[in-house]
Amino acid sequence: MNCWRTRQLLAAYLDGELSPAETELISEHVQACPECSELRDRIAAIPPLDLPRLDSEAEDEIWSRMDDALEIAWQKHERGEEQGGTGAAVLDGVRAWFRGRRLAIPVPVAAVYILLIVGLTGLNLVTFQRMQNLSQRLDAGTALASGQPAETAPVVRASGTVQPANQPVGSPVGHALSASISLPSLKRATEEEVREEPPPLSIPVYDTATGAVIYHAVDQAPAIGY
Amino acid sequence: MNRMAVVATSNPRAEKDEDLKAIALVNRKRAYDLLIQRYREKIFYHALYILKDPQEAMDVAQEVFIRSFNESKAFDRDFKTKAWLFRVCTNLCYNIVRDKKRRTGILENLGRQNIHPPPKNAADHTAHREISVRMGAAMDQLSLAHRTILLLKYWDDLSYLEISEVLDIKLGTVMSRLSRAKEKLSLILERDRWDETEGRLV
Repeated sequence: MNCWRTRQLLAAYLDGELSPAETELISEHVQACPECSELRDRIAAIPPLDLPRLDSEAEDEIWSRMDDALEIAWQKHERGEEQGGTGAAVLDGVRAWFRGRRLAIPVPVAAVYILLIVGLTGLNLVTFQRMQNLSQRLDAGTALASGQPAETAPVVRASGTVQPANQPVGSPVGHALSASISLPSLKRATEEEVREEPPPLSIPVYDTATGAVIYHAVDQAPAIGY
Repeated sequence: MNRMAVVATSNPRAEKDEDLKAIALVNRKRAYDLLIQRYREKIFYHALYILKDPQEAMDVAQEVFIRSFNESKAFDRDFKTKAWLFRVCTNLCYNIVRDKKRRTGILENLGRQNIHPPPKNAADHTAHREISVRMGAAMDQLSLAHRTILLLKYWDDLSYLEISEVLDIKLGTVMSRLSRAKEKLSLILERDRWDETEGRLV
């Protein structure tokens, strides 16, 4: 038995784990070798491994929480919901993969990015819708300004003053206004106003045969002879 | 014999793992209850002295027993219950230590203050407590492998054969690693002296 082998077996020798033959060989070597003898004494002098413990309050808390968690786990196990199977294995794999890696982007920054993307997309959609509405309204406004028939005339709001002297005799008021007002002075019609069906301009005609008053559309009114 | 062993063996309902196996034939739930009752302290403290974090140690201990629920052979006649529990526990702890190292890049030196804080008042500090704090501080300075094997042998009371099963190493390696671990521990204990006034190792 040499020093190297003795050093390897000293713990087992002191714990009484060696065969009688090995124990005898170690004893002989230790008696003859001062270095190994000193090492044996040092190891034998190590006090029992009495490690510090948590205080009893903390221990009780831990046992109680463990009992609760294990009871739930047991019930799940009984219901056949225990971990296992392909799904759980895949999930475990994913978790293990993430556990070992630090994400390149911190979570709060990633959240801000996602919110920004969602927000901007939403804003774009709203803006697009508004642009569509605006273009419809502009179409309606342009139609008014370019001298449309009298049906759309009532929705026009004039901001300037109209000279009665320029008003052609016998022409409908709406036409006179639309003709005399330039585009920038038009107030844009609201959507409801554009959709609103204006009352037809009609001319009352006294029917001599029946004695009744009949309202005719402007362009369909019969020629009246006075 | 340490206090843990006294607690474990004082349970009159099931003295040996073989008793648990007999109970499991009749009532498996009862057998698990007794198994948890018997080993939860050992498993928890084993995890605590490796991980040095009570929360993590509790998570590991729970996981060990949950895995035992799913181990269909847990109460088979030739199943080595104790070695199996400590093997699962040690491997889970090693995984966490490895992940921590990979994440933080520092040595496994976290949460030391959680287990054995320096005494605030030396007067009400018993000699027993002093030794155990000193031992804890010395153990912290050992490598993970040396700390684990000392825990398995002298804290968890596993036999050499059981340790070889837990760590999946040969019996000869158990002997040499234990000798080396004790040699280092004795050197640390001789070198370091607990300073009562400062409440730390000097």
